[in-house]
Amino acid sequence: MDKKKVKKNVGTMNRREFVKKTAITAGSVYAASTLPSFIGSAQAADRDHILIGRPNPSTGPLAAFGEGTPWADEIAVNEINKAGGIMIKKLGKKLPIKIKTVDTQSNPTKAAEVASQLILKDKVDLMLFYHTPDTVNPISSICERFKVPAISLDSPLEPWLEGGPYKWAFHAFWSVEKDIVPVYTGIWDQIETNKKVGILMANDPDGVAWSEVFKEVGAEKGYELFDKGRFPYGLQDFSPFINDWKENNVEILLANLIPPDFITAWRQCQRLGFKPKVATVGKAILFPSVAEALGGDLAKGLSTEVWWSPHHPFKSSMSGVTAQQFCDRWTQDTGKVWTQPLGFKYAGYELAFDVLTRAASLDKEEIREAIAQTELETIVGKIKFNDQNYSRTPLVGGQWNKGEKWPWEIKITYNDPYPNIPKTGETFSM
Amino acid sequence: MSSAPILKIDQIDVFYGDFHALWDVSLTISKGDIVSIIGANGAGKSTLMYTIAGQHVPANGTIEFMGDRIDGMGPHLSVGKGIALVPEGRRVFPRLTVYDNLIIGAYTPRARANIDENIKKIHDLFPILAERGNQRSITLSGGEQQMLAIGRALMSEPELLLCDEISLGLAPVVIKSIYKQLEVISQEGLTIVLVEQDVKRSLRFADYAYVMLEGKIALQGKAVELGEDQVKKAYFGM
Amino acid sequence: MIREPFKYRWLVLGALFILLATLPVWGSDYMLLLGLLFCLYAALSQMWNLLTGYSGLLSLGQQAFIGFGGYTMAVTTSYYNINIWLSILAGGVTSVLLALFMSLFIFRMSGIFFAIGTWIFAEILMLWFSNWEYVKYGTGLFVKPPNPPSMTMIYYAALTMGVAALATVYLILRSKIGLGLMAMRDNEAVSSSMGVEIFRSKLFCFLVAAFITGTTAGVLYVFQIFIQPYKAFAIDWTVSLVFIVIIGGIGTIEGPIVGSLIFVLLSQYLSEYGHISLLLLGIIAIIIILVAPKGIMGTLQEKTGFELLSPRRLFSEEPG
Repeated sequence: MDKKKVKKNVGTMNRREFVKKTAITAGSVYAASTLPSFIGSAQAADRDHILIGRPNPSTGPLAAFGEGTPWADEIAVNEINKAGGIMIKKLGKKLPIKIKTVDTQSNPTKAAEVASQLILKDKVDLMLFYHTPDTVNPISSICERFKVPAISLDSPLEPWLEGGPYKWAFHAFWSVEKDIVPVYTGIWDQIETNKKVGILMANDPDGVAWSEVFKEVGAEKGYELFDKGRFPYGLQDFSPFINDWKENNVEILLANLIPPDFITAWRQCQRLGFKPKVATVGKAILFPSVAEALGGDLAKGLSTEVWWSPHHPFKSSMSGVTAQQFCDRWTQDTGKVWTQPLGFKYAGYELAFDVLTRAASLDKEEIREAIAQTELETIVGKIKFNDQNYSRTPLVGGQWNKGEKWPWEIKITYNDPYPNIPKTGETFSM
Repeated sequence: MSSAPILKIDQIDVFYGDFHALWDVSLTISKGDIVSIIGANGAGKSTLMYTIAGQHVPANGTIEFMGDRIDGMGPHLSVGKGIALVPEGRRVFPRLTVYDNLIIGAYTPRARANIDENIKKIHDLFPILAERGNQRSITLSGGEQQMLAIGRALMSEPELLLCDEISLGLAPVVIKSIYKQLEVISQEGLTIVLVEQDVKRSLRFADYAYVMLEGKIALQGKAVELGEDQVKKAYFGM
Repeated sequence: MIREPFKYRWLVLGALFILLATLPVWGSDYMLLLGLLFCLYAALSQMWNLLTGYSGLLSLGQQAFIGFGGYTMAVTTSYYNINIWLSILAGGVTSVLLALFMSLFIFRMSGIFFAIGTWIFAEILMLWFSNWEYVKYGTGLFVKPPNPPSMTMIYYAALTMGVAALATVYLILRSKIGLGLMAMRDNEAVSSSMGVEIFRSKLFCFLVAAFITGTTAGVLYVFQIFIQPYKAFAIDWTVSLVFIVIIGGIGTIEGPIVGSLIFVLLSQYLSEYGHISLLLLGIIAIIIILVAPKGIMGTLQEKTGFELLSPRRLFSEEPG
C-alpha cells in the first residue's frame, strides 16, 4: 500500500499534520472508516524502516515514571540510526528504526487497546515498554496473543510471571523475593534493632506482592512483623497504623506505597512521635523530587532500593557511555538530577539494537529467537533471558542524605548481593 | 336512569402529609349516571377524583367499586377494575404518536382483547384522531389533545370515566363538541364523573351533582332540582 | 406531516449486518479490532440507553456489571477451567443476581439518588475486589482459558453481543412493556393510571441491562486478557457510555450505534496525541452537542423524521 500514508503515521507529527488530522477526524468519521489507509499496512516489500511500538504511561498516576522518556528515546534512536540503522539480510540494506509512542493513560484496559492498535494497525516489528504491572502485564499478554516479540523492563518479576508461560514476551527487572527481600533485610541487619517491623503497604500489585513475600521470609529470618492490612490510595489518617507500631515498640518501618500517601503517612509519623531506627520505603522515595517534597529534614535517613545509579559500573553497549556520563548528560540537558528509571529507558534500546542486529531480519519468529539468545552487558547490567523469558537486574540498597551538589542525594549503603557496585556511604541509624 | 350504585364512598378522610384534604366524604354514584363535582379551587374535587383512581390512599373509610373494596389498591390496578382517568391538563404522552397513545390506554389485560374494535370506536367518535394517527401527540392542538386523552381513557374499556377539568383552556366550540361526544358515550351506559369550574354547564349536563367546600360535601342533589343560586352559595360557603 | 419510516430500512440493516459478519473475511486485522471495539461499546451503550433514555433510570454504575461480569468470567475460566463461552454467560447470570440484590436497596430511591446509589455500589465492589485474596487483591487477574479463542472468535462473540443488544432493545420497545416505558418516560403518574406497572417495568429493564452488560464485559475481558479492579469498576466506563449515547442521541435506538462508531474511531485517532487526547474528545463532544443538541440521531430524527429502527407502531386505515 502507499508508503506515504505509513510514514505519516509514524514518529512525531508536525502541527499542520496535527490540525489536518483533527479536522478529518471531527469532520468525516464515517468516511474515515472506509479510507483505504485503515485497511492498509506496511508491506515487507517496500519497507524503509523498522518500527518499534512504544506504549507509554504518559498521563495518569504513572506519569512520573514517564519523565525522561522522550529524552532517552531521542538519544537512543539517534545512536542507532547514525550509522544507517540495522542491516536486514533479506533486503540487503540497512534500515533505520522508527518509534511510535502512544499513551496508555496509566490504564491497563487502555494499554491493551493501544498495544493492539500498534500491532494491528501500525504493524510494529517489536514492542518495547516499561514501568509497573499496569503497563507491562496487559501489553505482554496482547503481544503473546498476536505473536509479536516484546521486551519490557521496570516492573517487578512476580506479577509479570503470573501471566506466563510466555513465548513472545521477555522481561528484565528485579524480583521481590530474590532481590528486594535480601536487600531490605540486609539494610535492617546493618543497624542494631529489636527486629520488630511495622508494615505499611498500599492495596496495589506491589503492596500485595511485597507484604506476602515479606511475611513469609521475614518470619524465617527472625523478624517480628506488625501488619494492619493493605490501605487504599489517598488514605488521610494513618494513626491506627502508627499507634499500633508505637504500642509494639516497632523499630523498623517497611513500606511500599505511592509518593503522596507516603508524604502524608511520614508526616503523621513525626507528629505522633513514631521514630523508627530504620525505614525502608519502596517505590515512594525513588525520586529526589519526593525527598524534597517531604519538607524539612524528613527525608534524612530513609532507605530504599536502588536499581540504577551513576555509580553503577556499567556502560552502554552502543556508545560506550558510562552510567555516570549518561547521568551527567541528563543534568546538562535538563538541569535536573538523575533518576533511577533513566538507565532502563535507554537499556531497552540497547536490547532492541542488539536483538535486531543479531536477527538481521524482520521475521517475527527470528526476532523472537534472537531475544531468547540475548546476552548483553547494558547500562543497567548484564541481561540474559532464562527459559521463563526473564532476566534479573542487579539491586542494591541506598539511603537518602543531605547532598553536596543537590539538596538530597541517595548514597549506596548496601551492596552485598552485587559487590561490584561500589558503596558510596554507610547506613546510619535514624 | 338511576339504578344500582356502581361506586360507593363511605366516610373517607385523605391527607397530604399534615394537610387534611378530604373530610368525612361519602357519596354514591349510580350506574349510567353523569355526576358533576363542583367546587372552587382547592375544594378537594381533584383529590376526590385521584382518590377514586387509586392515586391517593384514604386514611380511613372505604371505597367500593362494583361491590369490591378498591381503596389503596394503586392506580395501575384500579384501571384494570374499570376506572379510567382523564387527567387535568390532558397529559397525553407528548413523544408518542397519537396511535401509540391510544394503544397504551389498553395496557391492562381486560382491554387488550378488543383493541382494534375499540380503536375503531374511538376513531368514529373523534375522527381527527385517525387522521393524525402517526403524528407525535405533542403536535396536536389543545382540543385534539383533549380528545386523545378521552380516547386513551376509553381504550381501557372503563365502567367509570373520571374527567378532570376537560374544558380548561379550550374554545367554546371545541368544548361543545367534546361534551356532545361524552353524551353519546354516556348513552351507551358508561358512568361519568365530571369535575367542572363552570357551574351552569355542569348542572345542565349532569344527572346528579355534588358541591364541595373545603374538603367536605357541602351540597348534593339531582341536577335538575338544584338551583344555580343555591349551588353558587354552597360554592362560596355562604 | 411525519414521514413514513425509511422504506429500505431492513435492506440497509441487513447489508450492515452482512458487512460486519463477513468482516474477518475481507477486512484487515486492524479493522477486526475496530469492529470488535465497536460492537462491544455498542452493546454496552445500548443498555445504558435502555436504562437512562427509555426507562428513566439514570445509572452511573454500569461499571459494577462490567467488573462483576468480567471477574466472573476470569475466575470461572482461569480457576476452574470452564469453557470460555460458558464463563462469559456465567458473567451475565451473576450480573443479574447482583442487579437483583442492588435493586433491594436502590429501587427505593429515585432520580439522582438512584444514580448515586448505583455508583456507590460500583465503588463498594471495587473496594471489595481490591481487598479480596481470592481474586489476588488489587494486583489483577490474567484471563487464562483452557482453550484461548482466536481473535476472529472473540470478534464474533462481540458481534453477537452487539446484535443481541440491539435486537433486545428493539423488541422490548416494540412490546407492551416498551410502550409502557416510553409512556413512563413522558409522564410517570399518568402512565401508572393507564395501568403501567412502573416498578416491574423498571426492574425488568434493569435486569436485562445487567445481563447484557455483564455478558459483554466477559467478551471484553477475554479480549483484554488482564483484569484489575481499579479500572474494571471505574466510573470511566459509564463516562464513556454517557459520551456515546449523548452524542449519538439519547432515547433513540440508532444513537448508541452511531455514538459507538464515532467514539471508537475518535479514540483510535486521538490516542496518538497523548495527554491532549481526552481534551480533544471533550471538545468534540461539546461541538456535537452545540450543533445537534439531541445528539446526532436525535436531531436528525427531529429535523427530517428519519428513523432506521422505530419503536413506533404505525396506524393505517383499516380496510373497509
